[in-house]
Amino acid sequence: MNEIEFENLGIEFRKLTNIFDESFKKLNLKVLSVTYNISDNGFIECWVEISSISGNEVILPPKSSADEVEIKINFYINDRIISSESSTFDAKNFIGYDTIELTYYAEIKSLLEITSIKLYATLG
Amino acid sequence: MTEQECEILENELKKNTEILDNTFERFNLKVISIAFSGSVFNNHISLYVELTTISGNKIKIPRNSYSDYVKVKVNFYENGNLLCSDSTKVGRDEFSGYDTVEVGTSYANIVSRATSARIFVAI
Repeated sequence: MNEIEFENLGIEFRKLTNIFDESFKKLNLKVLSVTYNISDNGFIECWVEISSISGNEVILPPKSSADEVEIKINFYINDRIISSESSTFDAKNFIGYDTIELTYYAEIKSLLEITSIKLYATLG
Repeated sequence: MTEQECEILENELKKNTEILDNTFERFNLKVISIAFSGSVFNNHISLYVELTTISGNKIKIPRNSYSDYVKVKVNFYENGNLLCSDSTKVGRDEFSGYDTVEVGTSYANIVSRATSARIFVAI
């Protein structure tokens, strides 16, 4: 595969990504964009731009002792999860906007078989 | 691409860079200047950010944070679409009031593709 094909694969991954908006909305967050960069060695970088919906803060559930928001991404081949990756950020010091990076490593053959991707937020 | 062409693109990118000053202020930091330096031989581009504190000599990290560093982040966009993002850590205990931090990224043809950038700080 050449550079253009890897870039097209990244664009395809974006189309395959199902963003669970409600999971972000519960925390007063929204996803502005999702971008994938896929290298020829099977390394995937996923950048998720997020912002708060109102004000500049993450709104944690009452009585929650969580300190972090965990952004998670699941990769599927048909209905089978082949990987779940995550990245966390400090919920109490969120500034209203950030870009979160998630990474994943797989054989190119597996990447070409990915049929769907889920992106959601939870508490860490 | 020649070095001259690369320099023109770097200057153009600098003009189209948004600095989220309020994110720096939150940690008692301010940006004195920025500069991009790209390579015509590989796909690497470096962003240099000259930083100073607003008052005193320390980065102010809230007490409720478990972190002892901040991250200076840069997003590169091509016509409004995010191409890539990278960051560099700046340690609270290591920063003494002034420094120049480098955020580098290697992305296919980044110098010729990036039309704008955004710089901010997060924890």
